[in-house]
Amino acid sequence: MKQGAFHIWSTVVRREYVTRVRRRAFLVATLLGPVLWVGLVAGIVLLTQSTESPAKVWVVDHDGLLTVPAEGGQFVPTFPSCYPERNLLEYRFGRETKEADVLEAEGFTCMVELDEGILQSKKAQLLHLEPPTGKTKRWMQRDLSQALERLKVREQSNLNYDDYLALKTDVVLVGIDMTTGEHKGAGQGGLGFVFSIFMLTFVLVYGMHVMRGVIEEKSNRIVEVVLSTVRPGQLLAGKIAGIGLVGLTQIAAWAALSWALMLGLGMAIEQSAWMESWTATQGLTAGTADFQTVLAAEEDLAFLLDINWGVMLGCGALYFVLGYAMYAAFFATIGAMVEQEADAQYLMLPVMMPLLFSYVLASMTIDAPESTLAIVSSFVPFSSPVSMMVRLPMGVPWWHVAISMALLAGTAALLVALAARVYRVAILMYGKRPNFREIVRWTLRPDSGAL
Amino acid sequence: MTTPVLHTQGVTKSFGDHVALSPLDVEVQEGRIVGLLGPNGAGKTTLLRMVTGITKPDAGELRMWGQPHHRKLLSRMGYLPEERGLYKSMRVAEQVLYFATLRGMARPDAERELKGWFERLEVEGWWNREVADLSKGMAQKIQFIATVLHGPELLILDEPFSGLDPINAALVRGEMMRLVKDNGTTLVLSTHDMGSVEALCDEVILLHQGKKVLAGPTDVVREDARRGRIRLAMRGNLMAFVAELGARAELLSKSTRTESANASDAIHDLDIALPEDWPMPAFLAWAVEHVDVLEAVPLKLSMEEVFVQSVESASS
Repeated sequence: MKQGAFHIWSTVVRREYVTRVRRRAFLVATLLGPVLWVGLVAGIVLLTQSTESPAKVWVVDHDGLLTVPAEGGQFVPTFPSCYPERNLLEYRFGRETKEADVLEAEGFTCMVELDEGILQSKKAQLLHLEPPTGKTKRWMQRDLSQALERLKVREQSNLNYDDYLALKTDVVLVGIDMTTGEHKGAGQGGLGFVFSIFMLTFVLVYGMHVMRGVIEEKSNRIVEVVLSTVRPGQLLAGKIAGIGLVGLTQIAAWAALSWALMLGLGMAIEQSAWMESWTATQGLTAGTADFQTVLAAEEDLAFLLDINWGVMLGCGALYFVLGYAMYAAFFATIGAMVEQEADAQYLMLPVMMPLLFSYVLASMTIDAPESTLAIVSSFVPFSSPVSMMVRLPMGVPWWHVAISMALLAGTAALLVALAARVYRVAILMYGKRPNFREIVRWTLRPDSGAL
Repeated sequence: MTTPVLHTQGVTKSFGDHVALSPLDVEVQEGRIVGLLGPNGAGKTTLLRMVTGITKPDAGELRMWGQPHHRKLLSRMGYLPEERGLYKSMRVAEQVLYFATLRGMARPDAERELKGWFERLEVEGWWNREVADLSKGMAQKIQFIATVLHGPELLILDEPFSGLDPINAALVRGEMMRLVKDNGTTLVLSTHDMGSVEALCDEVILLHQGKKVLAGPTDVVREDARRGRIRLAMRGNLMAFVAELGARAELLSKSTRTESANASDAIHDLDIALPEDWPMPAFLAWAVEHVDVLEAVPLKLSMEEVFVQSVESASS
């Protein structure tokens, strides 16, 4: 017969883990979570694109800078390659302005007027019936700038355009932390905030799982049978560990599934027709660009390549485990004090306050990850799991993480031990809810407890 | 005498200001069926929780199988508390196997044993069903199986028949008796159902307000309780006899059954409590001089009467 304390504890852990992982709700949430997440992003992108109406532009080239006459009184661009074919943007060129009603009748949405003055002023008028979206306007600016550049290079220098491009230099400033060597940007702050929201949600959801589990055992009276074999401390520790493992499983599954979905998305994009046209517009040789090149070129997403995902996930998992254990101690205590979930509602508020407070702090410190408030809250155990997640992608000295985790681990261990003292008395009390004085007494002067 | 399975000496337990058990000495011998009786709040659950390791005594000594109590001995016991439940989200067999594993049984052994128990208690079809689907009586049977599956040497059952219909109660009772007879299992039965106590228990321990007020073999306890009480069937002058008797003893009740139309032939039944200084033989010798004594039976008190009497005299 196996009877050691570890055998008993691990049996409890296994039950807590297996019964939860087998539930249909867990499977659905774990499998659908990333799909919904990626689907939501894709949906937003698609919706934004479908709401973008196509722009048809009448370019009035008064002085014939960018156009040459063609057959039938038409005008065509001097540098056609500057106006790549796009679904949402179409140009027609002429020398005369059109009245609004004529433009509308001919299906134009706007008109750009330019003359020789643009070579000095670099400004032109955009008259619109429907204002173009920001993206369309940027495309138009880029196309016209490029065409004027080609004109200037041809008229005012003896270079060919490719030589000019080789000389042309655009400087981009990339922020790098001198101590950690890591890149920093707004994208990282946003990602940190997303991670902190995940942390908050996971700690709350799994903490409440512990509370519900304790209430279930108490209210259906199975706890007395269990305690005739398992010490209360073992039962509590087994419950916290088992449910924590369920949380870790979900985190791991979400990370793996998201990774797989990203890879799938990358491969789909790499093999799509879109990739070819994108490669061409970027002036790259066909077949040399991959999904990473696309991400790197997209300024809003490029930071994703700079994130150390191993560190983020590793630290995220550790902070979850410790933060969850600490809050689970509170939730378990509440669970042991009440006989049904409804009674737990008002007791939960004080426990949730520090978590919600750290979330508010996190939203305040996205733009100032090195502020005193951000640093202090990433050390205080009650807020550190959420607050440190905001700071991590920006780069944090390793000893900050080490001290913060050590403080959190110590606090979690202490609180779980104290919670066990309250738990072992309260779990067998029916009909009367222990008051605050009793709880303090059990914490300071423990009952003789179980055998 | 063999080493008792359970032996307490001067065991006490308090919760805050409330004394749940005053110094308590009890003993349970191997292979016996012992009824643990007492009104609500007498300290029965407190005692059982100590024996099952859920709490520890504040003072005194608790020995199990001759050894100071320790956790390793818990797997030799099976405990079915009065307030019992099952995990609703687990399947029936999975749940029973969980408890067996906690008590150190290897999974294949537990599964094999469980199949036998499912057959004996007629719950074969429920192996993979959800606990939430069980009726109350069915859940009781599953809880009983979970208590006995690991083959405990000491079985502690708190109100084991509550919620069971007479057929299922008989089924469970039969299994309990089989365990005692075939395996030599010791059984501690805590119950308010005095009928079960009379039918099953070899011994009783009666607690009241944390103290032991009565203990011993059921027969002896009932002998003790009936001392000085007699049921007398007589024929003759009832009025004169009762008047004479009333001066020396207490008449508890009287009734008349008539065998013939003649009033003097009527038969009367009297329940009489004799004082300590008037032993039964002397009383009978006196009675035959006054009336025609047809039958004299020492009065047999039910366990319920024993219970009420003991508790009332302890309270006063």
